[in-house]
Amino acid sequence: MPKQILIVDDSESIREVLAFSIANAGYEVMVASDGLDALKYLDGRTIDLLLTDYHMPNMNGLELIKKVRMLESYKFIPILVLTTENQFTIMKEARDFGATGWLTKPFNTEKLLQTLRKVIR
Amino acid sequence: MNSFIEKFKEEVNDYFERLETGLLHLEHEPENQQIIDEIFRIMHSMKGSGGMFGFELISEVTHELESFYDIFRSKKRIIDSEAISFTLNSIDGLKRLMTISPTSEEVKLAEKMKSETRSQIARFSDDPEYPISQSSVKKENLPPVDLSQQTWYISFIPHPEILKNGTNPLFLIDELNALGECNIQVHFDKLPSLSEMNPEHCYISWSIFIATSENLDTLNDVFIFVNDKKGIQIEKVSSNNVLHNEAILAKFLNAKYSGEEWILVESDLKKTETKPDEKDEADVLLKSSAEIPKNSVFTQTTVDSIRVDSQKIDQYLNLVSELITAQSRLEMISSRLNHPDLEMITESFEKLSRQLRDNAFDMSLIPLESVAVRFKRLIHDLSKSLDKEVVLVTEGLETELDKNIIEKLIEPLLHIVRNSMDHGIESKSERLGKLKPAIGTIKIKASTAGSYVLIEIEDDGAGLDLKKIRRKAVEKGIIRDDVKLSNDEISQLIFEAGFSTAELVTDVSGRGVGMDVVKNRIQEMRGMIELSTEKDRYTRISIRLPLSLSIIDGLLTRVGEGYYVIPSSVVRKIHFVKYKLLKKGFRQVVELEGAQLPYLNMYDEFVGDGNAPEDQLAIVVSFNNQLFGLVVDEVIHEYQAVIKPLGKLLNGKNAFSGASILGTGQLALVIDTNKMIKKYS
Repeated sequence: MPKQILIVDDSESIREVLAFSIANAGYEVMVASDGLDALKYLDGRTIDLLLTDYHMPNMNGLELIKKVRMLESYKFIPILVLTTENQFTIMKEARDFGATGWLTKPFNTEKLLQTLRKVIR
Repeated sequence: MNSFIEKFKEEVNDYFERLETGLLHLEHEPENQQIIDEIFRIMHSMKGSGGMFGFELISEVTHELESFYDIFRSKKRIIDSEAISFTLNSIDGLKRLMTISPTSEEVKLAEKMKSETRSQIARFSDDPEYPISQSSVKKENLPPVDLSQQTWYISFIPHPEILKNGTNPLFLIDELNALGECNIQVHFDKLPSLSEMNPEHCYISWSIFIATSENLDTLNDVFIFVNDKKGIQIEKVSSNNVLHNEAILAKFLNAKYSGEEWILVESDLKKTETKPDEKDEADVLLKSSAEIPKNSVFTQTTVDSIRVDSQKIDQYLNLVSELITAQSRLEMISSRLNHPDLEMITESFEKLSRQLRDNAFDMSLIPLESVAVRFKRLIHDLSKSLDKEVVLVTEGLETELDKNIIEKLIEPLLHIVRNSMDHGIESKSERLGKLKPAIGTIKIKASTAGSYVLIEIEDDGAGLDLKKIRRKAVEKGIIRDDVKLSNDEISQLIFEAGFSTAELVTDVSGRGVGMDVVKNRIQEMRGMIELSTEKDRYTRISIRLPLSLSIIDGLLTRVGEGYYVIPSSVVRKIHFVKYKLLKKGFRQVVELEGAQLPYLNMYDEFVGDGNAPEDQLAIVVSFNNQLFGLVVDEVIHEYQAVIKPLGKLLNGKNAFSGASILGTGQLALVIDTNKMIKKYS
């Protein structure tokens, strides 16, 4: 049973490039276009990793993480945040909300998969 | 990767449009935080994606713009119209920077845009020395890898709540293990009794000796996601692999617990210790060879629309039209063979291909709305440069049109709007003098009528000066001095080639594109354009266009040995007529149902050998409330005509809009009723 990863990003191209690389590495990939969309998807399901963008319309990454962590079945799953800069404040904020780690754009496939492997096996 | 880049480009176009829409809206509502947020977000996305897909300049410029909008977003400063216009110009600049391999000029442009953005930032910043953040586009500089193995000691005492962030400490140990040879000890001493244990806490700690050629940064990076850095200590034990030298390890631990400073024991100690590179948390460089699950599964959920390259749609449409040509051939063969089974399948094939055709059309239709922002933008820009205040009123822009038509339509429409702004709408003082509201109005209205779309552009400006137009037309030799023309006819003169009334060529119109070019463009698309005007009241330009360019429903008719297709949308009735009776008629008019109907006997026109058949058919077509009869020898059947353009030599010179290939391989000419009526009535 491959690990299931939900990708949340409002940019379709980023979503696709992530989905493509991650699916190629053998994970099962789901996508959502913003926080609300993701929550809708998560309801009643289980996933192994959540990979979410920071800035999104409707519900941004932080709010999503906060909401996800309140769900019993997602209390301990790894959550990675996509950011554009190494902004310490953003990372700290994200972590205070319960994020596991982050992935900084731009990234290549290798870095993406390495980061994933840090948090799921 | 290329397909992702294509997708990215599409996305960016979408971003540009949303930015323009948002900015134009901000103009009226500068405090709208939602729009500011969206602009910020889009700049942010473009920065990130731009870097991802190699559009470095886009990434760099949007980085500055993002900082700029951060001022309005987080500092709650209110945007002003200079900033809005600046951003609109920046969007134009960004459009030019959409390239992976920029020229030196483009690099220069990007630099200019960046510094301009910074001065904009400075304008709004309270602090005159507004910190300008450095470009986020980082080079992935690899730290030099020391191949000789060193030995490190790592003490890892995770915070009890580490699990709450989704970090699994075991994975980290595992990751270390992948970096080199490890000697790992697990400490359970903090583990409480079961009754006191909080199952959500982590009570375990580790001490690890690792021999690796990786440097300190890499080791630190393993713990990059660990919140509580206090629980992590990394110390160098030796510049050699001493993992199997238990004496040294014991000595190290001894020194450690007694609080002594550990002095590296090697005699061959290298002085060139790995310099701590500039810390860059993002560059996680692992030599990990963790297993990758083999079976790849990719399920997409929650996506209900997809973007498709427009070329693919064109290709699809092309294939559909080929299919329809093949289908008509099949139909012909089937009717010749007269085989009931074959006929049945041909019939259902015909139905399916018709559905497929409609479906393909539907796919290539896009609403006019999608280009509305271009008008808004133009009006915004021109209002500024001409110092006229104008509101744009739109109606029915949800009307859909073939994408190809819309593309070809944009320039002519923009030109018309430009003319309205420049020549139509008067200056404020002039308007007030005429007792008109100071703010002018430009109305764009679209609606569907049968297989046509009507687009009207109306301004409440000065109207056309018919006397002046007439005078100019005489001057330019377009009409003779003595011709009598109705007002309507005079106003149509502006569509004539070489006509331009602008006394002085302004920056705005007079770009060498005249209304004649606009008219030609519209006619190329089998459309027509008309103008009506009233002095000091309005100028209205009406454009009528077919919904699609490539396939039409028509009647296949025969005249002599030639075939002609008449678009079904204009056919009203078909009457049986006698050739001889027609001949006797007066001035090419036939009386049908008590009304006088002008007609064209196509046999006489296109064959003309006087051997027309006795029994003919008059097809009554209507155009612009005008009825006209086209007399043919035979109506063969209804026919879906896939229209292929005529060559350049034939184009525009006759009454045909194209040709279609019949199932037999013969050619049928598609009649453009508009031109036909004009030419022969």
